[in-house]
Amino acid sequence: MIEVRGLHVRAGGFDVRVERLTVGEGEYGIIMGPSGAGKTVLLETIMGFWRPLEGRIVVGGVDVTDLPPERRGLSFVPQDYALWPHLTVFENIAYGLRARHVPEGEVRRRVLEVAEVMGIEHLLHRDPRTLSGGEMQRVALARALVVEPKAVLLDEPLSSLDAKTRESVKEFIRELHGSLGFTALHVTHDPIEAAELGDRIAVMVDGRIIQAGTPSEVFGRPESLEVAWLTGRPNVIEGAVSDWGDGVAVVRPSPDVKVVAVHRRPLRRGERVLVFVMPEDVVVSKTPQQGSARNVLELHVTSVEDRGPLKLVKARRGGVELGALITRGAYGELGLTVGDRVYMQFKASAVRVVPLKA
Amino acid sequence: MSKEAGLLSGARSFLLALSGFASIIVATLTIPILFLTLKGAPAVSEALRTETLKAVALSLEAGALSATLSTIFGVPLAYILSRLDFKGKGLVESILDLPLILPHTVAGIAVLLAFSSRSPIGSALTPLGLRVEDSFWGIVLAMTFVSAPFAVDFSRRGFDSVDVDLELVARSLGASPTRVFLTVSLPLASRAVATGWLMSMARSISEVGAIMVVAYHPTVGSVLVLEWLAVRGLRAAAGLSLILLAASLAVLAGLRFLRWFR
Repeated sequence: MIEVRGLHVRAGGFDVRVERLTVGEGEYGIIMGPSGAGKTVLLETIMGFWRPLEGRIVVGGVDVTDLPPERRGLSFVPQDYALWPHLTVFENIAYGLRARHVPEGEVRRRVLEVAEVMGIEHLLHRDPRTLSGGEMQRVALARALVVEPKAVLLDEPLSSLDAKTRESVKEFIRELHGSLGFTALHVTHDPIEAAELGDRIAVMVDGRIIQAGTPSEVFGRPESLEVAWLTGRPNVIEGAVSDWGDGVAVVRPSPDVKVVAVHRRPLRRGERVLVFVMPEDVVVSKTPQQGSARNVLELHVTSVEDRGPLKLVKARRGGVELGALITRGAYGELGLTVGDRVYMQFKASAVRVVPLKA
Repeated sequence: MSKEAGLLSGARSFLLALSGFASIIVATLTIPILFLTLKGAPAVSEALRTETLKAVALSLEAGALSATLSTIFGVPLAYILSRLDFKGKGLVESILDLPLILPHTVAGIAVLLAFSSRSPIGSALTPLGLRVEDSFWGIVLAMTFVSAPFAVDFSRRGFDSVDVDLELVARSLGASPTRVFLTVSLPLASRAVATGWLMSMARSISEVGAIMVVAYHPTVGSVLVLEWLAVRGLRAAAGLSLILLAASLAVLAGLRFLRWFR
């Protein structure tokens, strides 16, 4: 378990303040944020590479704040894996065990054991410079796990891989974590990676953790514009509250457009707010559909963009623009072209309302 | 064709101008060596005598020892300069530059004043057999003074090129700072450290001024050339110079080998 309390660190041009961050035993924790948020500095401070001005870092119940990196019981996997080019793969993996003066026979047994789990037995004699990105990733993980650390800290471990390898390595890490149950803290800027791997996600912006929770909490209930943007490039519409009662708000982005949202905290009439709707929560049709969606907007298609296996349909009415992600199949059936009139529907519970600061 | 070659493709007149200027510097370096070879070759057999061989051997021996001492004490300094920021770092860097810009006779006088048997340090060292004036140790000290910056500078470049993450990962896996230095940093910077040793050696055997001031005797190769020039004339000195040139070329070959080996 990793626990960070009241941490303040200034390093590498960053000013990082973290009130509280917890990764439970066996949990896969994610620190997600844009570039320049201070994520790596936070990770490196937990590792012991930077000394905090304030705060405590507790690992497995032991306060490690004042301990050097080698005595914290944490393994580090940096962005480019940092495999030692002057050592073979075997020697790379064995390094931590030898540093801990583990008898040579035991070193051999444990290296072979972890190599088998990682599926890299055939690479043990190789020069690490000759490995592919995915192979390097496995060796770096093997090197980190063989010493049986209290937790593994990974700094953007998938960012230097190509899209195809990234997917397979992600899958591998997920399975590995599932079977070994190690505690991990993983830094990424990629919301999909965070959602797919994380048991818990902490969203970090400008050196602060602005929201933390399970993936469904962070993705389903973004508490700020930054989190909403980071968690999936949602539709963001600004408007004024025209009514609020019984946990339901009505927001008017323009006089002829109305958005209904579930919102428990009271809102004042006329209060300026931002409305978030995820594109995947928006249903597109050519005629109004019967259903539970309380929001049905009539708009005109302005563009259709490719999003891998999906299509992003954008439509506008006055100053309001909405995007909807639909499958290629649905797009083909609808036969949409720019200028077509469409109905975009979404549930009130799928709308997040964030009051604008004065 | 390399990307660099592509950069200059079609720039014929510019390339010609570049080549013109470049050839002048190449000629300035090559022609004197060519003349030395032509004029010195007939005098080599005459120059090959016990006195000469002893002087060249002394140059190599003192040069190797001076380069080794510069490396042993320079590598830790290089690592500190590469990895740490501290008050006075600029001052230390300037001190390292000093031997490179100081006239070599001035360097010799400074060494003599600091370490001669009449100085406080020298008087403490003399009973230990480390007398500086006209001794092997004086030669080594003078050589070290002028050549140590090369060992430090090349080693530092080597450490600079080692990604700090390679060291941090080792720390995280349980290695102490000393172990990280010995098993990660130093092996990865070893080629640069070896180049620094060779450059330091090359600088040492080419030194004249500082050695003449501190320890004219026993005579090293470079000082003997000067002596022969004054006493026996240019032809004899050229023959001896050619022998020293061969020794220098051996060092150069070592450097080339290190680059090729990379």
